[in-house]
Amino acid sequence: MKKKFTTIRCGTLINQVPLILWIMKRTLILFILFFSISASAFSQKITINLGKVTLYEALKKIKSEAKVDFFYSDRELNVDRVVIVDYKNTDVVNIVSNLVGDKFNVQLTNDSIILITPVEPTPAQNTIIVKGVIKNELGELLPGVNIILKGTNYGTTSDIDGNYFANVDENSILVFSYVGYHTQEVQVKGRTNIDIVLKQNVKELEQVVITGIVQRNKESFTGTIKSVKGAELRAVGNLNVIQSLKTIDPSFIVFENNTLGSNPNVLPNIEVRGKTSISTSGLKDEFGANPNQPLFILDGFETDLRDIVDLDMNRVESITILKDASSTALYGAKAANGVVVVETVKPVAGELRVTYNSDFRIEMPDLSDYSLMNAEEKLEFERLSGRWTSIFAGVDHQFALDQQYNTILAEVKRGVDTYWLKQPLQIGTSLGHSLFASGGDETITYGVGLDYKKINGVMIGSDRANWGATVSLNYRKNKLNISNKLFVRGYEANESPYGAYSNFAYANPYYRMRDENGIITKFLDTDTNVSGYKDYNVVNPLYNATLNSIDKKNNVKIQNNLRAILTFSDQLRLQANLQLTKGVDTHVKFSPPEHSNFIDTNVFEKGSYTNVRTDNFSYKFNVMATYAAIFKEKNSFTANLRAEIEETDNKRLGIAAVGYPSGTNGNPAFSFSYKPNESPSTALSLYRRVNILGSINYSYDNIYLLDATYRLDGSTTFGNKERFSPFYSVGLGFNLHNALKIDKNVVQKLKLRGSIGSTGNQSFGNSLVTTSVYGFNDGLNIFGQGIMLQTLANENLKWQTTLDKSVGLESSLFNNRLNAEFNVFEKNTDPLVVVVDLPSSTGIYGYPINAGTLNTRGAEIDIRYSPIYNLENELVWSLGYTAIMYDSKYDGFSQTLQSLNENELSSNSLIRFRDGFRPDDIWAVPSLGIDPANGREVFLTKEGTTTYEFDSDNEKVMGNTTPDVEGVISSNLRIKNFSFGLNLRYRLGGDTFNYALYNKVENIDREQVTLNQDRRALYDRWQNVGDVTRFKSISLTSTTQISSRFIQKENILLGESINFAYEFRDSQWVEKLGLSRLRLSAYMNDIFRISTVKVERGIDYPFARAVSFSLNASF
Amino acid sequence: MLRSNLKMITMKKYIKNIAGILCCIMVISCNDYLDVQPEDKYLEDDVYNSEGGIETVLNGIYINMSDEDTYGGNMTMSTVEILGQQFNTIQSSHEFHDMGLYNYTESTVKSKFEAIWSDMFVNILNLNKFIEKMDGVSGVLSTEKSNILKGEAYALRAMMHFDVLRLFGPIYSNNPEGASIPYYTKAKTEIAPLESATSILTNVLQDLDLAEELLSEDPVREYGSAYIFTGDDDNDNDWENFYRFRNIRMNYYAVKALQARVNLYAGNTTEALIAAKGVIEEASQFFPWTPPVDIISAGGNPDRVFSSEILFAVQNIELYQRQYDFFGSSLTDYKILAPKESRLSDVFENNFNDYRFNSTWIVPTVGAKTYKTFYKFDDVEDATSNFRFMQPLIRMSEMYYIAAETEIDPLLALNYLNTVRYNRGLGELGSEADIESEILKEYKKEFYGEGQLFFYYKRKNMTSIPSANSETKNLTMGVDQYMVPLPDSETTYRTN
Repeated sequence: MKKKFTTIRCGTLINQVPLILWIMKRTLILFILFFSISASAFSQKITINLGKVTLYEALKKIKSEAKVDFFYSDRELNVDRVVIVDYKNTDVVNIVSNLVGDKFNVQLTNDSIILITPVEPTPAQNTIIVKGVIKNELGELLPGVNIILKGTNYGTTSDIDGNYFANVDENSILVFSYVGYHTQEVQVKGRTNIDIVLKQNVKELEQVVITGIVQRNKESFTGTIKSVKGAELRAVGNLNVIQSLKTIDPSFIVFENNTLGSNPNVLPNIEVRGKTSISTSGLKDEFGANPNQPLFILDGFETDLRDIVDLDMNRVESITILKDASSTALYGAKAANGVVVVETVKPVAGELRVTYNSDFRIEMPDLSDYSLMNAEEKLEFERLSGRWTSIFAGVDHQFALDQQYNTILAEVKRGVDTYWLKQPLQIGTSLGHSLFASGGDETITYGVGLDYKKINGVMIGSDRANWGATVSLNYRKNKLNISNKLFVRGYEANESPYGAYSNFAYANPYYRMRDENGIITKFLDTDTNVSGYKDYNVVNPLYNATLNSIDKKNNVKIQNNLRAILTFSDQLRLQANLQLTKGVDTHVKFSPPEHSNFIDTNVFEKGSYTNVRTDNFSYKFNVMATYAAIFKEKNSFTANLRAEIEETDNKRLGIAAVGYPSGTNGNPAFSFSYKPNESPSTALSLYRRVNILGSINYSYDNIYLLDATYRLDGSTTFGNKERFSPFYSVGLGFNLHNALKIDKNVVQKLKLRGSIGSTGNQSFGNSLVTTSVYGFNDGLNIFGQGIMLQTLANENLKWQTTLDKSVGLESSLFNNRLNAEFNVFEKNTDPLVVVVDLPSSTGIYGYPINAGTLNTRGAEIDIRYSPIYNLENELVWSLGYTAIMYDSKYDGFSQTLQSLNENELSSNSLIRFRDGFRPDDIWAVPSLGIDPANGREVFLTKEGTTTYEFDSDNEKVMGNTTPDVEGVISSNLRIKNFSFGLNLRYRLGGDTFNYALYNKVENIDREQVTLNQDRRALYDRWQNVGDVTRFKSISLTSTTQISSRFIQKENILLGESINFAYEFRDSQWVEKLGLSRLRLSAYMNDIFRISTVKVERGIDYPFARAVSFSLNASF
Repeated sequence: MLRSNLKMITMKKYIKNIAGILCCIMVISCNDYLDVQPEDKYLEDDVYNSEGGIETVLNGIYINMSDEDTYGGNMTMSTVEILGQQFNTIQSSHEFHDMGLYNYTESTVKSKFEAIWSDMFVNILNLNKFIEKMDGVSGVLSTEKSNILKGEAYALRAMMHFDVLRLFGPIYSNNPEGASIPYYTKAKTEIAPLESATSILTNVLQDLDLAEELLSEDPVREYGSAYIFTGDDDNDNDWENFYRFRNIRMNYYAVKALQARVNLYAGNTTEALIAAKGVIEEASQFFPWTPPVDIISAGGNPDRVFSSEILFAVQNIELYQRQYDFFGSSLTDYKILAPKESRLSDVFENNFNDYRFNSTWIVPTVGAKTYKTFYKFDDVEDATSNFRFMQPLIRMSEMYYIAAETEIDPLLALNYLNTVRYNRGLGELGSEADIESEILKEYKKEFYGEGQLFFYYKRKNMTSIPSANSETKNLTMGVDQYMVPLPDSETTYRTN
């Protein structure tokens, strides 16, 4: 202290000392919150800029500016301290409060007197404003970090973006503490900007496991899980969580949809750790899901894949993938394929914080896999294939063919060579906005979120708009914590009026798109006389897009999650959750009467309109009691008991109207009638489920760990004799790092764990009935309507149960620079539910039986290593490697299943079910290639002899589509504010059946000769005696059978995600914009693909390469 | 110590309370909660516990019979008629082109037979389930009603198996013992073996005998087809709607007629004659000849199907849509089903006064057709006509033809033929007429669009029949043409 003033300097109220003291006492009691400032409603705003002045001068100036008086004691307030005064349009009280520091309360009375009173009786010191950003070693921002002034009880927390502000003495010490991180003490030493990097505490690393049902201490949990933070997901890409998740976790496999490519309206096909079911159509009812798809949990409640794909990524707090029985048995009957638990951001207490995110994405169609013939090549191919040679005797027909050939030839010579492929395409763009605001105090916190995203696909007219709004409220007082989250979300999705992309791949390049008047004609060519082909009306694929077709889906969903937690004591807690969901989904389709679908239709039925509306309502309610205790210091015990009921009600109603005059907008009022003799289509289903769950977690001295779960599931299955099915799991773990006294600096974690348990699969909906069911059939007669058998009961049918075993090792070494996890697993589904087709004379179709088992074994590797790990200079470089290997096998299949083989054969599908074989085996007849003498294919028989005759009895397993190993190699570099990430997917050793070779090089029948095909059909097929080729004679239009010639080994390297990010911190201009943080990111997704197989991808919708940008700003 | 004990006690209390709450939930969520009745389907047991439910099940089968896959298309107007060379399909792009050439391996042809086979057996499955359940129900229906419904089911089962046999089975006169089709009498997943044609016919006749017995109290024997009951006794009220319109339901006379048809196919001429004569004698009063005034001078309401003579028809609500789809005058040449003009004249022996000709064969005014097209199933102006939507399956005239074919006395036989001819506006045949060839001519004229001609050819194993695609040429017929191979959906899953 430089000076000591003993005189009381004061304003007009010098004689009222008792009152002042009273006020001072009162403020001491009232203002418990150290950092909060209470401002009077009468305050005013001023702009004042004095530069560096003493506090005394500053106050004097403010006094005259704002016409206020001050009251303070200079024994307590050091008015000679030099302060910086530079405020624009700021509240007077705030200014004063800032100037005097946080040791003082500033209060404006009704008489325009500002009272400056100390909040604690300690002598005044030099206070400064310290601010900064708190991150972890990965550069992730940490919200909610506790910052305490050492030696006091006063402190604050960081906001949602990791920012903190504190008014402290310049010589004080700040203590930063956060769950899962080492507590850090920092001496202020007069600094005003202190950025903190908190080191993760290995002992408490990701301390809490979020399973969506119970919370477990990570160190003592025995389940295999992968936990991903929202920031990690957003670092990989900004499309949706599914696309990012697949890059991060090796066992989360998203299959490429070769038919529908990058269509934004198509849901991905996902598996976690391989298959547990046979996915044939007919297994599930209308409201069921893919039986190999994992279960999705959003904020504690089950949700569907659509919601997860449409979820605003910026709202994701964390995602946890539960993989083994120890974690998934909590979900019992639906958990056989793993569980994905998504938690959204929770509001953080504090001042109002606003975060804004913007995502921009550009998609370019990837046509590099297409290699189609040009006009000249196409015509030549047709000639060689015999299209222009008459099959009839006599010259008339040949003459007509010659005429037509010459017409086309003339066009080709004139240079007509239309590149149809690019016609329906555009550069796809998507733009998303997301706004989140939160704030509140210890008792009540609130959060409001808004998001909107518009995606335009690469096919013109194919788009999707997602929107959503969230309001979260959280009330916490004493033992009670009530939180409520209300979601309203929806989407509008349009399919491209151009229809299937394959129409453009098939269109002949020798036709002109437009006629001489520049008009897109309905037909490219019409000729019914000479061709000898059926319906020789060549429709212009562009024509339908010139009409006002509609194919639109609309969805609105309202969901409310209410949660109440009553904490009786440290040991006992009671929790109840209620979710109500209401959703409406509308699908409108309109095809105008001019559409090429209606060429041969009765004039009263030209043009069609369908409207299908699905309504669903569900409620879910659960209560859970949690008991946790520590006995004799070393025995830690947690137990949960939970009961749940849920009901889902789905209703669908569809109508169809036909017969439109041309030029209408599709309004059903303009139609001629309903579709004749058709009734509105409906589907109604009501599912109910109940379950009771008990689970315990026990650990001894954090060395020996035990988890056990039991769940009894009951569900609605009509007349099922076995309504309830039990599921269980037991997990054991061993923390080697605690048990063996290893050097803590070398080994931070070494944990061995294993689990076994049973889980179920009920994705089938209600279709697997054990009682015969009747339904109304179409039509009626004078006696009224009629009903027919829809399902013949299989009274002995059992639910599928999967026995899941998993063993894993987790380790963190060398101060966390090396993290490695290894898991091996086995899933055995016994019995499988298989739908078999019997001889049609039984009249029974899709009869479900229990047959066979499916056994999946595999291993996962996840290694992360940081060669450079310099936290002080914020220089970190990490490398990652993930891999999954798995293999599935069938067993125990009886003769009944033979029928399924034949069924799949006739549909040309390649999935087979035979003992000892795999679900992804490719069956084909071994081929010896093409006989150079005659261009015919030579097959190898079972007996080892050669033959020209194809016989499916000679089929063998010639490949398997599951790769030997698949995973992601990643590199992440962070230099101060800049970060760069690279994720390369590799897939090795899988086989693929090359459909492009099979369908577009060969297997081109007389009708398909008229369509455009792969160039290899012209160049690589046998033409003359002696040609050594891979493909049969160009003139053969007979069916090509599935042989080993089309199976190829496929190794792929895919540029799944490349990303850059820069964060602006401490920049003047950022602050001037009123931002506390600004982050820019750029991504490239699927930017390249190197494959050993050349195959057309994206048959009905092309694939796309994407470049995207994100902007993230906090206010 | 004391404090912690207290804590333990309160803790126990809490646990008790929680356990209590959980138990409550368990009680609520017991079986009752899970006992959900589906809203858009009916469980088997609920269906058979009411009279209405039972009627709806049986009616469901009748409705499904009128489907295009079977009697509403393939078995009457399209596929089987093409096999019988009734319509010209010369255009190589014609939907039925390969059918007309008996190319049974072509996928377009296969799909039609696939549809026939599958749908017939779906109906049979439903009949079997119905019969099985009807044996179990008691107290829901009176015995009289129950017998009638069961009788109908047995007869339908017989009729469908018989029609499947006629199509997919061997040429009976050639190879009666070869494996043909399965005969299903149970609604089970068990696969019935392929039996010989003889054995199938035995089963068919057995079922028909059973049906005859059960239907002995059929109201058709008292009231005829009975659009409205006119009787004056109170008993009439018992026969509600569901037992009226016997001509669009399998009835006693239809069963007898089927016996005649099946026995004729099996070569049992005596039994066939007895059955046919029985129908003629007993049913003529209820199924009179359709007066010419209703056919040719009925204005906008011509009774082109000769409805009063139909012993059994299904009511096909989509009949007029089918008429458009198959025979509509605005269809292109590669879609329409129409005979060559000269072949049509040949069939009617250039006698255009035949009631069956001038009501049914018309040069259309709509579309650009210059030749006569088929109008038998065209709609009429009067929407209340009782014969609307009738898809004839068995008619009285066939009984006369069967009687004529099986009657040993040629004069009596000729008399049967002449009775029909008289009612068709044709002159009498003299005794010099060749009965057999006259019967064939009558089949051609009588059963256009009703799917009987091909089976006539097959029964007679005619080695040469006129081609519909040519003015003059004949087709050589044999096993490869007459015997339709079993569909893939049957053979690929069948292990025996």
